[in-house]
Amino acid sequence: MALSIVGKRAIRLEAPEKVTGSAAFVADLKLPGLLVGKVLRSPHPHARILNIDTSRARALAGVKTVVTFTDTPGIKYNAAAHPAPGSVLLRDQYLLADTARYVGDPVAAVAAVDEDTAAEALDLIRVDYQPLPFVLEAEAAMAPGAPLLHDSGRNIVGRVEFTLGDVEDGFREADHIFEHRYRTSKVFPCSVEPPGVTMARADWSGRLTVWSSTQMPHQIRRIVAGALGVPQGKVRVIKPYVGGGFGSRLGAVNEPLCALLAMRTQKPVRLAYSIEETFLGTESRHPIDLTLRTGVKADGTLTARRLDAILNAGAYATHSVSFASPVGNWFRGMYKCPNYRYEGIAVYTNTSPSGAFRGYGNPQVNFAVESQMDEIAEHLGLDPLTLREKNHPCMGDIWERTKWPIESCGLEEALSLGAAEIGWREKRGKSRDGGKGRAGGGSSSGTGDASSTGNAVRGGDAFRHRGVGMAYMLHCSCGRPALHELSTAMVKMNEDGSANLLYAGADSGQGSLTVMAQIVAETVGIPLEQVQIDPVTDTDLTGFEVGSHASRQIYAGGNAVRRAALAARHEIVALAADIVGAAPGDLEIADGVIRSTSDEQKQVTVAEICREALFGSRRRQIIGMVSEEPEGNPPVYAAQFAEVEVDTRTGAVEVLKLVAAHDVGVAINPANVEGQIEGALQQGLGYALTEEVVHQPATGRPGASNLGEYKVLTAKDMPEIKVIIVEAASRTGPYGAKGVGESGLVPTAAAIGNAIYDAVGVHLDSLPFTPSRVLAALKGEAGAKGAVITVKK
Amino acid sequence: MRKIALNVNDEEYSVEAKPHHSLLHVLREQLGLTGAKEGCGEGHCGACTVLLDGRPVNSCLLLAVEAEGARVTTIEGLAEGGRLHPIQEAFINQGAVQCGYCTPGMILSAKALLDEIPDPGEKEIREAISGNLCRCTGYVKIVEAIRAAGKALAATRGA
Amino acid sequence: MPKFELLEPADTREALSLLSELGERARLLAGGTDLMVNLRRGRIRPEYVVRILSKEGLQGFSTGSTGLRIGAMATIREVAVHPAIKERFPALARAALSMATPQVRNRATIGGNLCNASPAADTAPPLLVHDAEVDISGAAGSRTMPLRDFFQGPGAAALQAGEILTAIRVPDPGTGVGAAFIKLGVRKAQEIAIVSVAVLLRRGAAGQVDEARIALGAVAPTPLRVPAAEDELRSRPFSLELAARAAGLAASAVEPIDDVRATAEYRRAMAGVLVERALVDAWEKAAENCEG
Repeated sequence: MALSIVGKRAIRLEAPEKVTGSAAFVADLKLPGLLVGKVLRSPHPHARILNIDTSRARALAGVKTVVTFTDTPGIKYNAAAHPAPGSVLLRDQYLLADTARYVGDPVAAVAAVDEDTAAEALDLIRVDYQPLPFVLEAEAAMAPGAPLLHDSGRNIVGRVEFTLGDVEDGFREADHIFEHRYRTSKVFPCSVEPPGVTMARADWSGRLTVWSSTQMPHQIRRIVAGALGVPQGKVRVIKPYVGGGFGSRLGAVNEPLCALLAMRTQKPVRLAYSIEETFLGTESRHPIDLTLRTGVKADGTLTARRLDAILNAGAYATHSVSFASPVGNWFRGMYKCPNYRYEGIAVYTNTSPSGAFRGYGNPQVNFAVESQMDEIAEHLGLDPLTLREKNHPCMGDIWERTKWPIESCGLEEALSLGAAEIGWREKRGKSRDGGKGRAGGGSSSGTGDASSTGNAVRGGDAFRHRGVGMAYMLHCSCGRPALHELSTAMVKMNEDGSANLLYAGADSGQGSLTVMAQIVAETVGIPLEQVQIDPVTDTDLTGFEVGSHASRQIYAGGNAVRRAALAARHEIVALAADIVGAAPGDLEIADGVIRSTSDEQKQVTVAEICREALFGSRRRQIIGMVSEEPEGNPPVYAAQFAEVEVDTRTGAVEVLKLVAAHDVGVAINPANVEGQIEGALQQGLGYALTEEVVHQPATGRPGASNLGEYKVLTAKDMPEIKVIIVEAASRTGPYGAKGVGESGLVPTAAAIGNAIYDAVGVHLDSLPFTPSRVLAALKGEAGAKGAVITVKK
Repeated sequence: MRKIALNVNDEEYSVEAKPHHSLLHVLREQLGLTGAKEGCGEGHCGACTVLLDGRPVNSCLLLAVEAEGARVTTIEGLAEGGRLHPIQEAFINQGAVQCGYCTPGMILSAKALLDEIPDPGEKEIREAISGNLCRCTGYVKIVEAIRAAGKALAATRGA
Repeated sequence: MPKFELLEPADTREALSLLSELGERARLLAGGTDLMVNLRRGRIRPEYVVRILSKEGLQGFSTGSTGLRIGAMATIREVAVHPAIKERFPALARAALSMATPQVRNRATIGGNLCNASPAADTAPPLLVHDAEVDISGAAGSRTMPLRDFFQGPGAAALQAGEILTAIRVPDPGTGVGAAFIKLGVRKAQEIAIVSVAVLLRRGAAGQVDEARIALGAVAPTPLRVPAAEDELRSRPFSLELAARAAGLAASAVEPIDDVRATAEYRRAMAGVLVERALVDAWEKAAENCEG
């Protein structure tokens, strides 16, 4: 039967609640007697805490509790949420620091009757610090004699190696060897609802309820229970509406600390971090130093690939123990090559912990690999598209990331549609032909709108050059086989023929809720309006669900939801077959009506069947329930293209157009898919051009701690965007769907960097491409470009 | 404490508020109007946007006492008689809502724009929402929604 | 938000006596867009915040034969959209429109922008090239001074304790004048300038530069004029070469610093580039104003 609901641009179920301001986020919730929590943070990047005097704070009227390290359960924990099968995350962190290890490390917390009192109490806490030597850069932290952050005797958090074949043989076979070193920046997810907003209540019967703005309610339950040493069954996590995730909520932010305050006071407590605290103490994308060595034949065939990655983990392990694995996985999965070698090392430094941010290592790797591929193509005289077409893994090939055969590949189509949309053949290479440059229009520039007339400088247009660039990417649909990907769904059929979906999916704004409802409606055969799913997730009321990571919601969660709906449908069909006297295989359901395909007279409604089950012969409710992992992890492909204009006097880069052609398997809700990619492009563009936090060498403080200095792009900064959806259906995904959530930003930085090269002839090796970096590269200044190209023959 | 008289969404309120509290704080914590959100608290994100005599302001940067004598419009004041405002309708229909945290402020900035310029161009729309950060949508569908709302409002006026 | 006591004097006169009595313990509330952030971040901790109930004399615009008077509490938006400013002081309107966000511009005041004395204050360079003056009132009386002398260092304006800025006076530029403003940032909104430049040129009948004024922001402890570059231009026939030469002089006159936004070296280089571009732009506008 043709699909009637899957593939439709269904309106989001919860949108009316959001446009009216009715949707309640954690900070909108109130309980009687609610206290306000606040955290005191270390001003030092590394310091021994000699003494904390909380007496004056405790004495302040309205202060209900003041806690320091000695008040914590003394249990080390790890805030990250998803251990790999069989592994135990490195636990290296207390709820409050015993030693301050970065500027912003929480050293004390208070709960008071209101915000003013809580703030005043923080002012009254006296901490005696003994500053210690500190180290901010990963490479320096690996050196002998570097200050050690933990008792482990070295600053190495994790080390991972992957090999295939023999890279040395591969390099010997190569006609050319390219070696480059790339550096990526520390960037923050910056959901508009800042991460770290929690309300907790410890009730008198021993239960702990945590209202968490999270991407993974069930994981939060486990982490909170572990960190506080309370039985997991006593902890209930409720996720209300969430104001964007992007990885910032991939694990505990301040849930355990808020719960500690609630347990100490036996009153409800709200702990909401400020934007300053976002930058001081929540997790960022890992800055990575990537040394990439690639051997190629003259025809562009890859013979050997080697990546050495040094990851700046920050002060605590969180995700970093295993983070070098995905980095290596992205690397080895990108291109077919018989020989590769990867080594990744994650290193402690006295900076805020690095963790998850949309793409989970892939944006960093992709920037390096795809920037280098552009240089390789240029050097070999190949069209960059051709080099990708020649070397990317395709349907049927083994994807080195999973070691499983690839289910579907829509890259060729994405490349050709994307190239046509950007005008690749007409534009690429034209800037550098004859050294004249393809002069820009001069109608706008990256120097601020206010300057637009200032840019109409006669003669100034000669300094504006346009170029186009592209990059390709492969991303995942979930974390298998490295990670658990369990989802549990229950489809409950009501006596009016409607369905409730009970599923702990953590929609943090991406719209997965609506897509799940579409899957249930399509699968059962009822109208979309007859499917209800509560946007509030409650671990007491739903089965285990890993949460929202690794672009998995639709592929992995949707799989469980579809299978639960199928189970309900089977029951409906079986009962209907009895009632109308038809063979089950002869029945179809559409729009809430069950019909025999051979005899039109034989029909009955889903509502009648559900009533019959409940109140008639069966006396049981029709419920479909499934708890399982998806079968595979199909890669998603994308090709992105950028057109830029570079001002060679200021170094300012204006992106004129972005084209994102993504193979998403099947788009169950194309409007949602577009929304995911369009939003990701804003983050990818920010990664490329404006977003960065540098910890200041002298003080260890982050160089940006507000949204004035941390430059999230505004509506005025966004270029023309064209999203192209390519559908190469997967075998294992629900209705052929693959992942989409993270992929939209993965190749953006490289595409823009390669466009800059096309415009002005320099490749940039460090993110972001700030005007001063671009200008330095244009001047060929030392340090602006770390490339070494070895030509063997 | 200071008694503050506020007109919010055409309702008169008299509240005892601390003079150093922001309008956002009073709206959310005292009047129970939680549609305005705190994002950054520093005037960058615009999640706390409300209209003051029809113009968008950051309610986090405004002392509550400063709103005395002015008309305050929050997102709760847009739907009338159980019917959504055309801008709200457009945001829903164009897929301009993702996480929804920026949405109330974004819609109010859009309303201020459309009240002033009924049929704005793309540049004017982008300027008008440049003080409202969104991390989900890339602004694409938000811009489309505001344009569609402008057309819908124009059609209503013409009728 | 740290606590403070809110004082609400009826008018300017009452406010001045309160402010002179309280001195450093009090802060005047204008638009509040900087004050509230500074309070929230604990950068300032005044005991009192003074809010003037009647802003009579502090708001609004009045135009006379000699020029324009802008009340210090005129909002940035009002400055950006005011017809007389858009027509006669377009560089100022443009600078105002480049500032912060629509929401902030609806509250922030031009007086606040100047009194904060940020080296990067957006409205400072255009006002400097217009030879603006500021009216200052204190309990002891009023005075007027050139804006050039008002900026004394980062965050330091030439206000005695208890004094407030009441108005900005901008002389009419006359005919044959063109003004330009360019702000360099990495975003198109919400940016604090890496470098900002305003230029005013008067074009003589013979194609020579009759008057030249150049001001820069974010490249020195205060917004500043660059007399050497201006002198280079005056009385000479305008050309791209002349503009480049003057821009070079401007770049050597600035004293930028390294900060998170940019290095001193980059700022100095950009000061030259932006001045050159602004000169060409202003010269073209001056030509239009001659013809029109």
